[in-house]
Amino acid sequence: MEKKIVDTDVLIIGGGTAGCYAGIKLGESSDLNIAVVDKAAIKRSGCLAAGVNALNAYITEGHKPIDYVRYASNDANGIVREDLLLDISERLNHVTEDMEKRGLTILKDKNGKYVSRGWRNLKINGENIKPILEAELRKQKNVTVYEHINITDLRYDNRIKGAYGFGIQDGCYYVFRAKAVLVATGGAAGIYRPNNPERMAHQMWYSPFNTGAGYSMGILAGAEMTTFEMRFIALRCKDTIAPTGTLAQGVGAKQLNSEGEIYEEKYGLTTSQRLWGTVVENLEGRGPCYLKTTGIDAQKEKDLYHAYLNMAPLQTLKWVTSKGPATEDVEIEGTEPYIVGGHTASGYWVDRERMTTLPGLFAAGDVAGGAPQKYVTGALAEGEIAAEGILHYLQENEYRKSNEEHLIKQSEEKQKEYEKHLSADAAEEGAIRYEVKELEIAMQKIMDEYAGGIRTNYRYTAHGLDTADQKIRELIGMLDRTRNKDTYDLLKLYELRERLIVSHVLIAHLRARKETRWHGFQENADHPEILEEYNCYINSVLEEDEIKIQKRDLIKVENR
Amino acid sequence: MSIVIDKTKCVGCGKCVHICPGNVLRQDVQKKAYPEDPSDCWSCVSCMKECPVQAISILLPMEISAGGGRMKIRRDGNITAWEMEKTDGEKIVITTDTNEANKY
Ligand SMILES: Cc1cc2nc3c(=O)[nH]c(=O)nc-3n(C[C@H](O)[C@H](O)[C@H](O)COP(=O)(O)OP(=O)(O)OC[C@H]3O[C@@H](n4cnc5c(N)ncnc54)[C@H](O)[C@@H]3O)c2cc1C
Ligand code: SF4
Ligand code: SF4
Repeated sequence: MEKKIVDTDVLIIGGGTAGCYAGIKLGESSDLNIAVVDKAAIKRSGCLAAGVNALNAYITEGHKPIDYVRYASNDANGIVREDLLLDISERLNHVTEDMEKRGLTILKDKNGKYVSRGWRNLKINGENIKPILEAELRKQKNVTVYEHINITDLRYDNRIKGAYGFGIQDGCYYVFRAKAVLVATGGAAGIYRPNNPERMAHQMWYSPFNTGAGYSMGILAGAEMTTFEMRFIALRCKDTIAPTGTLAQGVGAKQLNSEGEIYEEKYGLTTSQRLWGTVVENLEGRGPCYLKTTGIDAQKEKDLYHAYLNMAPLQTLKWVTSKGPATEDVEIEGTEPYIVGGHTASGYWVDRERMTTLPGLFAAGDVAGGAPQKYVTGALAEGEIAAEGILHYLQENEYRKSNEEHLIKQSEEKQKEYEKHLSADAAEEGAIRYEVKELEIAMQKIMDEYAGGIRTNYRYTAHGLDTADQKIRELIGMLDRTRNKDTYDLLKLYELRERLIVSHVLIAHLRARKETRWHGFQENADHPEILEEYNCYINSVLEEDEIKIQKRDLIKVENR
Repeated sequence: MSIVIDKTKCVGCGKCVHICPGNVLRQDVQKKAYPEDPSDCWSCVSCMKECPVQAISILLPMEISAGGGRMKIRRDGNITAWEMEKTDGEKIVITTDTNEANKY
């Protein structure tokens, strides 16, 4: 592999919502050199590829940031970092107005006021939100964008000083050397067996290309992670796995069982209760379940077609070519579990400046933990907070001499590792080799069956987790036994490695919370009740190949 | 898998390969685009929005809707024309404008 070295002041890994916005903010407020590196092209990379429907986090008139903190905390049954949530909530409105100035269309009334959906959502046209972010980022003269480079590991001595990766298209080995790093690679999908069968495996809600890279590189470098056990399981339109918020909040569609009964009130209205209610209705023989959309007028139906084209176009195609939501209720189902810190609280343990426990490494967006219900505006807010944190860190921390010898060795080893995977076939003729895809399917099957996937209605037992743990370890051992002909294959291999490492840590977290805090999200069959003693965070650090679990006290903020 | 690339229309510009958020597409020796593993596709339609000659369409998968159907996209600045077709040949076109916010 040809080696390419990039020197920069700040490295941003992942040019998604949080990464792009942090890059824009650093570009506008400093003379630092900023490199943004992404595995794809930032115009459409990440969660926002097809677009989004609404800004799910905004503080409307008559409400205060603390209201949002209380809402998110209640939804997560108290296991949130209220300090982090408050920082985000205080910035939601300002990032919204900033995005509007940059070109985002937000619905307004005759008086020029934003039109809200409930008290915390705004109606927008989010189809082009990613192209807007990309264009704004490219305006920054001190920002350089590197695309189609997959980052796999951090570069560090006693501080984080960059990252290693490979060019998917150019086949080069990349070393990014930086004084501070922001990781913003999103969450992790594709860990569990998904809703749709193999041929359609990626017909899922969360981006199947966010594979937990940021979590994995942090875990391997010894970063502390929090609340992985609070998995996110979405209630989605059956088969297309398209979002349902537009139907539930937008047109007020209620959850309906096959007996024609509205069941949502029976179970409660938090995110996990809405899901769990649907699971129970099915288990008790009152499925399938729907969102009651029949009877909406023709104009509403037409508006829904538009809304879904701007976010999940397959849903509109399905409606238009068969029956629309005005004539047929929309069937719903729970997805496979995802790890995503923008919806639940899983991710890096960070301080208020979004620095992780590894000095020099910051985290923002879905990869950062503690603050659920972040969504797009929360990811933007966190990108901005991290940008300020990085500036602060670089001012406070005079240049420190690196352990060059250590870094050179680290880099050489990484290059060798990539090259070894690429030449594996030639090296050992006749040796046993597997396709990455086979390992991936095996991982999803293990997680599904033993770690609370769709197959067990999200329930798990300690015994099952032991089995999952052993099998996942075996699969990690098999990574060296795969067949990889080029850097596209290498991409798949590292995506699998990331998912396996996330699975490994997730299993430890699921085991450690010996209660059931959130039905469905963390359904511990051995301990079906909520227990006072688990009013705490479950955190973990990988030390000498073993995951060390640590409980931490809840961090609260006063009403203000 | 839901996208289909018409090789006779593809002019080999590589725009779809560049834009795909999952590096799903590649170009063959004649520069024609193809998905290396069709099951990797997320149906985000970014490639369809970029293709200058409408060589890419989306075929509604049987697992999603047994009635079938197809969609093409024609994009011009803010305006996107979504050309949908039922299996009996009936065509429905919906036009969206990024300057118009969703009503819901
Ligand atoms: C289908 C869908 C619909 C949604 N709808 C809404 C909505 O209507 N309203 C709302 O407020 N929120 C919505 N959300 C949530 C919101 O989009 C996300 O929470 C937010 O975009 C997350 O931002 P992020 O920066 O953390 O991740 P992303 O924006 O996904 O960015 C992650 C980036 O990292 C890159 N990356 C990943 N791994 C690597 C690697 N190894 N090396 C280099 N780069 C890498 C990816 O390519 C990507 O560009 C939706 C999410 C989804 C999936
Ligand atoms: S629809 Fe999206 S994921 Fe599928 S090939 Fe096109 S750009 Fe890639
Ligand atoms: S964008 Fe269209 S014309 Fe260009 S390579 Fe892709 S399919 Fe072919």
